[in-house]
Parts: sequence; C-alpha cells; structure tokens
Amino acid sequence: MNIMGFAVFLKDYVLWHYGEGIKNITALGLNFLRFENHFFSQKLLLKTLFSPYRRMQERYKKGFDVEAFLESAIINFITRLVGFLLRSVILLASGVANLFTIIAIPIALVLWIFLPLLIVALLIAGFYFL
Amino acid sequence: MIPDFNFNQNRFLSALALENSFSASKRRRFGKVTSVCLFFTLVFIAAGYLSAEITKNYGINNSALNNLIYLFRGDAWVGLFFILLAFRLFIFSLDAFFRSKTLGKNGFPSSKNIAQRLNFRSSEIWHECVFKKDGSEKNFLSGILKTNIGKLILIRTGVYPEEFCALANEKASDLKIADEIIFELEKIAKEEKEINSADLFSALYGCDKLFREFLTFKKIGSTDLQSAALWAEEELDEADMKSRWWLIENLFRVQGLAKDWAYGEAYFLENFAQELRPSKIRKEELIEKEREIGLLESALLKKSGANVLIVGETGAGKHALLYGLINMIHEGSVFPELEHKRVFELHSDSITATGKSKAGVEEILIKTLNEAVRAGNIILVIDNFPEFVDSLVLMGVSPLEIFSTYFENSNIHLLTMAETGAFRKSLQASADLLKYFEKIEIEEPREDKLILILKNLAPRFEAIYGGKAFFTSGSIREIAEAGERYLIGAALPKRAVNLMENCIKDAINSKIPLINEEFVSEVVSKITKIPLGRIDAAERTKLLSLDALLEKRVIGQKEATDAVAEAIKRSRSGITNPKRPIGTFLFLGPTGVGKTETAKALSESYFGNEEAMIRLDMSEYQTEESIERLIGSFEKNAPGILSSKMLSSPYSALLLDEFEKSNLKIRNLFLQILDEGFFSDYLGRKINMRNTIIIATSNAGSEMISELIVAGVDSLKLKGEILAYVRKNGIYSPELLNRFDSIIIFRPLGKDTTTGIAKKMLDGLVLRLKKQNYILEVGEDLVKIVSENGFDPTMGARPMQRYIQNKVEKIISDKIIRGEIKQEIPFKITAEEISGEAQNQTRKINA
Repeated sequence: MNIMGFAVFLKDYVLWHYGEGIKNITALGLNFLRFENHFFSQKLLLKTLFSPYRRMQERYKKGFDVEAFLESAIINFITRLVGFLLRSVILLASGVANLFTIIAIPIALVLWIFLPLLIVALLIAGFYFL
Repeated sequence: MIPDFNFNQNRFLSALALENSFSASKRRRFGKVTSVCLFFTLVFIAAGYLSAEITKNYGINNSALNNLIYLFRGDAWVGLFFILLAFRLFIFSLDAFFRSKTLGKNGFPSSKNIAQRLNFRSSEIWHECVFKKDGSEKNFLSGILKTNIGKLILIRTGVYPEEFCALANEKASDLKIADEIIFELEKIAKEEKEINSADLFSALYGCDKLFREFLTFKKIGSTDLQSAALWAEEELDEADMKSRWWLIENLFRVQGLAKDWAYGEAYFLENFAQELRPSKIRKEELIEKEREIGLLESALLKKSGANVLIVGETGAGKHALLYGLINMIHEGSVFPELEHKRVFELHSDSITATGKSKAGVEEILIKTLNEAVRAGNIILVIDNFPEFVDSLVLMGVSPLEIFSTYFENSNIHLLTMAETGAFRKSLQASADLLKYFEKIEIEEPREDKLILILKNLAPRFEAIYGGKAFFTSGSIREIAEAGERYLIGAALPKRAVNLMENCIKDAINSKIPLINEEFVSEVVSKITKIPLGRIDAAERTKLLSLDALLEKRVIGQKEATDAVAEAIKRSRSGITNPKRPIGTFLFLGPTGVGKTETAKALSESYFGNEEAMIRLDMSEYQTEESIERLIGSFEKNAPGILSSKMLSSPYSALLLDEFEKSNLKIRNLFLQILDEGFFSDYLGRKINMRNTIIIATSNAGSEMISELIVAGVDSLKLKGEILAYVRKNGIYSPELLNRFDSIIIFRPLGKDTTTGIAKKMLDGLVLRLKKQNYILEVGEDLVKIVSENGFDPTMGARPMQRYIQNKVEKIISDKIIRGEIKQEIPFKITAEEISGEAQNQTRKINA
C-alpha cells in the first residue's frame, strides 16, 4: 500500500468503524441474545413450566378410594414439582446469560468507540512500562 | 467512447487493499501467536506477583524464589502485556473491518461505473491482476494464480496451475489487455447485472488470443470456463459463510437444551428402534427437494392421522429426505409443532425375530407403539414398509388391525418408506391401509438439478479423499449425463453419485489429479463396456474400416452392412439422441440371406462380444396374453423375459426374429421402446433400454423382393415398393416403420454370392479342423459343389451349413476313424467323394 492508498484505506476504515462497525457490534449482541433464547429453549420451558417431568404421571384409579386417589395426586404433584424445579434452573441460567449479554452490549460499544484510542494508549503505556 | 471504469470507486477496494498488505491468513497466524503470548505474559505477571506476596507475608528467604521474583519483577512484563494487547486488538479491528466489508459479496448491478459492478471475487482478480500493478508491467495471467478464486477456477476448468504458470511466463507483459477487457465488460454491462468472475474470464477469453488458444488446445470452451468460474465462486462463498460462526443461521445449528422435557421417555421402544440423529453427509442430496420437503412437513402437520408414505426408487433420495427433516428439526427451522420431535427408526426385522409367534410380535408392536404414543413426540420411521407388512401377514398378524388405532392418534406419526416396485407389488392394492397415509412420490432430479447436486458434493468427496484429485466442471457435466444415459441400477442421483466416487477413486489410483470429461468417459466405458470417450487410433481404424469388416463377414449384402456401419459410426461420434436406444433397425428380406449374421456382427463390433446378443423369437408371442411373458405378470407375480434379460444385461443387442408375427399389443409396446428407450414392467419399474441396439427382422414381402430384383429394379425404388407393400397389407403400421432409425432391405442371394458364402463356411471348417491339427485343403470343386447343392432359393444360404455338416464333415469324420487322414498331413475332399457319398445315401434310402 502506498501513502495515497493508505490514506484512502484510513478514511474508509474510520468511516466504517464509527458507522457500520457500531451497527455490526449491536447486531452481534442481539444475535447472541437470540441464540441464548434458542439454546435455553426459553419459550418452550415457560410454556411447559408446570408440566410433569417427562410426562411421568400416575393414573387415577376408578372408584372411590381416598387413599389411592391421594397417592396418585401426591405422585403427580411431585413430578410436576420436579419438572418445575428443573425448568426453573435452566430458565434461571438463561436469565443470567441474557443479563450478562445485555450488560455486555453497551460495554462492548463503549470499548469499540474508544478502541483506536485504547490501542494507542496501550502502546504508549506499554513502552512506558518497558 | 471510453467506457466508464474507475476501480477507485469499487466497494471492495479498501478490503482488498488490506488483504494485499496484511492478508487474512497472516492476520490469523499473527492473531494466534499474539493470543498465546498474551496468555503467558499474564501467567508470568501473576507468578511474579504471587511469589513477591509469599516472601513478604511469610518472610521466606529462598534464593530460587528471589530469582523468580527478580525475573518477573516489575513493570517490564506489564509493558509487554500492554503492547501485545494493543497488537491483538489492532488485528481484531482489521479482521472485523474485512469481514464486515465482505459479508455482502455482490457488485452494484445498475452502477454506471463498470468497476462498481464487479462482485467481490471478480474485484479480487482485477485488483491482483491490474489495479495493484498500476503503471508497471501488466501480465494479466500471472495475477490470476495469486488469488484463491483464480486458482480454483483454473482447477475447476481442468487446467493445472503449473501449466498455467508456464503460459503466463511465456507471455510478455501486455499493456493493452486491461483496456480490451474493459471494452468486453462494457458489452456485458449493457444488461443491468453485476459482473462476476465468469464474466471476467469470458472477457479475458475473448481478448487474449494466447489464453484462448491454450484452452482450445485443451478442448475447453468459453461456456466450460464460465460454468467452472460460477462453481468456484459458489464454493468459496459458501465456505466463507460457514466460517462466520457468529451469524444467526450458524448459531442456530447448535441444538437447544431441555427440548424433550415435556415429553415422555421411550425405554422399551429403544430396544426395537434407533433414534436418528442429524447427519451432515446427506445434506447435498437435498438440493432441489424443496417440493418433497414441503410436502413431508405439511403432511406431518395434520392434527390427526399425520402419517406419511415416501415412495421412490432405490437411490432416489428417500433417506436424504428423511435426514433433511431431521436436520431441520435439529436446527429448529421446522414449524413449531414439529420442533421437539424425535425420529426413531423401527428395526422391523428384530421385532419379527424376537416376537417369533403371532402373539409375540403383536405384543411387542403394541407395547412399542403405546410407549411412543405416551412419549408424545415420536416420529416412527419404518423403512421397507411393504416388506414389513408382508412379513406380518405371513405371521398371521393383520397390520391394519394393529396400526389402525395409532393411525388416527395425534401423539405419534408413522413415516414409512417403500421402494417403488415393492409398493406396487404389495401395497398398492390395499386401499384400506393406504387411506391413512399421505403418499409422497420422489421424483428423479432433472439433469440441471443433478449437476447442482453433484457440484455441491464434489468438494466433500475431494476432502474425504484427501484432496488428491479434483473434479473439473466438465467432468461433473459428464458424470450427470452418463449417470442419466448409460448407467442403470439405483435411481438418480445415487447412480451419478456412485459414478462420481468411482471416478475419484480411479483418478487417485492412476495418480491423475484433475478429473476431466475424458477420464469420466473412460470410467463409464470400463463399467458398461460401451465404447465412449475419445476415439483412439486403434479404434479409429476399426471404425473407419467397419463397413469393410462387416462386408467381409456378411457376404453379398453391401447396402445393408454399409447402412449398419453408418449407424454405429453415428452413435460412436455421440450425435445420436440420448433418450432413445443406441440404434434401431428393421431388417427385411428372405430367409437365410444374412440378417441374423449381420445382427451378430453388429453386436460384436459394438459391444466387442457376439454373446452380448439377446434373441427373441417373436412368433412365440402371437397371443394377447403373451405380453405378460415379456414384461411380467402382476397377478401371477412372475417377472417377464424381456425385463429380466434387460435388467441382467442392459448393454446388449436385442434381436427380434419375425417381428411382424408378434401380437399388436407387443408391437405397441415396442413403439414406446423405440421412441423413448424404456418400458415399464409389471411392477411399474422403468426398465432402461437406451443402451441397447434393437434389431427386428422380418421376411415379410420377401417374394416381392425377389420378383423386383429379377425385374432389375434399382435399390431406392425397391425399398419404396417394399415399404408400400408392407404398409398396404397392414404388416407394419406406418408409425412403427417411422420409429426405426433405419430400414434395411436384404437381397436374395445370387449365384456369385453363394460361392463366397460357401468359401467362408468351409473356411470355418478348416479352422475347426486346424485346432485338431488336421489340415484340410479346400479346392475349387469343393466350393462349387457346396455352393450349388447347399443353396436353396427359398431358404437362402441356411441349408448350406447343414449340407456341409451332412456331407463334408461326415466324410472327414469317417476318414479320421478309418485312419485315412493323418494329423499334420494336408488332405483334400473332392467333389467326386461328395457325389459318391450322396449316391451311397440314396442307395441306403432305396434299400
């Protein structure tokens, strides 16, 4: 690259860095958010939050038998509870991931905006420390 | 007028400038090294800090520790860390810039400035070949090899990089070439479209004489070059998109967690079925199967009774379709209703084997199906469904009774698959079972789609075989064509894909790095024994002398043998219609004049083997029912003679003796065969007859032929009269006559020809005797007596063979037994001996 070419490149780069570049970083963050939703199956887990775990269900026996009825009811309650707890764990994890990403996006943007300055500052500091 | 071309305004210029001074591969290497260094500096800093802390807090005074502290002491490492980090971030931002600038790769299709219309790949080439060298030497060709796209295009065209390098070196720098190319591009730019590397290469082809001559010498045309360029572009672009893992479509390929928590487990089912997981291998075969995928998806979306039956030939892509669905489920690109489905393939054999009895099988089936229903998210695949149904029926289990309760259940989907033949044979009739299924028939891909499939598969095969051989664009076209035209067994695309694999294996074995059309033809020839590909010197001589060869073998039928030789030459030069048999002939003429002999000679000269001839006596097929003997019978479940012969030896000559005597229905069947080169057998299978030579013989009108020849009618008029006669008397319908490539009239044998035939037959006897070391010398008188007595005006030369057998051979055998003929000593049979023998025989009869 000759000097003219470098000047053209630099102009292009700066325009991109503070235009398209910022857009790209934001889009990337949103991509990650969407990916997390997909990976942690948020929609599905919310929809089936109180469903029994893996369809484990006891059938209610016919006729009037309080003991048997209660037995089935308790088992069914437990499977639903287990399902709820396990799903909550995953949902919680996904919430943490989302939160992390949501916080990360503005930080990344700020860093991006100051990146050229940061690189120069790091170089100066580096030589200073050496 | 000077065209508007200003590369300074090209949208990829800054990315290309960056690539030129600090290329992506360098960035990657430096990036990696810097990252590793960063990690270690960080470790050192931490180690220094920790050891300092330890000595300070615990008062340890150890010299080794002190040395360590001294080494990692202070700020030098921190300084290094900062510098490395700055460098890493610098590389990162350059990378981000390049990736972002090249995400969209299209040029601006309506820009006035032609340079702005160049897409990324053609810009790459232009930048390397012209722009970079502004003012200095302009050897366009030498730049091409420096770009990835240029290199790949050359490989896909069938040009070795070394050859091309030699060409570029040979050529002096050409200052005008860039301007000429711009003028060419301007012509292309008349339409509103972007300019891709195919356009650029075709412009170069038009301008650069040396380049054009080089390609012409290698038999590569402009269209080959363009299709290779388009292919190379697609290949690189696809690889680039795959490497961008942060794109949403790539991120979504990771399967989510806990998708099946809302559904039950199926432990028992897992004993008799296997869960099918996504497979990358089958993806390419799915190209252009959107229709079928769409049908499958919508069939499975039905609220109840969502069962599917996929019908197709072996190799047409039934499993590819299934894996397409599985991949889509995995990626979450299906309708939400199908998102959490699991696909199990039932091992029907192990069910019947484990169950043993009717009750056992029923129990297992009901248990597995019940469990699948309870789980609620299972698509149960049954491959070879007709065979499974048959085996159930054999055990006394009624499939309808077992399955009917599950067919309507929305908690389970049955996805069954059937091969076309088996489907017709055992399922088609059971309407009560079929009504529960949505039937999807898989179509074979057309040639253009097939090429697309093969082009997508090629890089995969090349990678599997270690990049030791590459396909050129021409070879792919040839594979698709050969797959459709010459190969049989399995359906497309499987057939072509198998051929592709054969080609790459052969190429690696024979150390050929580029697979071109000729190589493919050779492989196909090896498989089919059909002569294809380039005509070499030996074959050229054979082809050019074919008429002489045939004439020598079939005596006295010059017109007929010439016509046949002509047809063979036409077929060998590749100008015949690929959708019809190789050649179709109708031989008309009296008995014993050489019709069968010509057919044999034809079979030998084309397929290299006289045995490659299937002979059917059509007078045995006079009734309407006899068609069943030919193509098979559905009711009797018996295969037909024609279909089984054609399946076992598809590359052969088919001789239909006395064709006119066959039933009208059969003649109509042949109408289709002659026209389209295939027929459907009793199972509805398409039987390919495009690799056969069909010869129908007939002695209809032979008396008339004799009369006309006696009257001295010339051959053109003779043919006209005979055809008119045949048509008028309804022996052959005009549409049937029109479908033969060639109708050949065989003349009755004259006196002169019978001598020739007698000589030839006696020569055959001489050869046979020679094998036993007896040397027979054939004299003029022997030939004369054989030709006179062995010839019968109504039977032609056919009695001659019998005459030789009864007379000549008998005398010789008597003499051998009596010891009058000795091995290695020449002997003669005279005419007197033969007439004496004849008298003896009459005497015996009289006595």
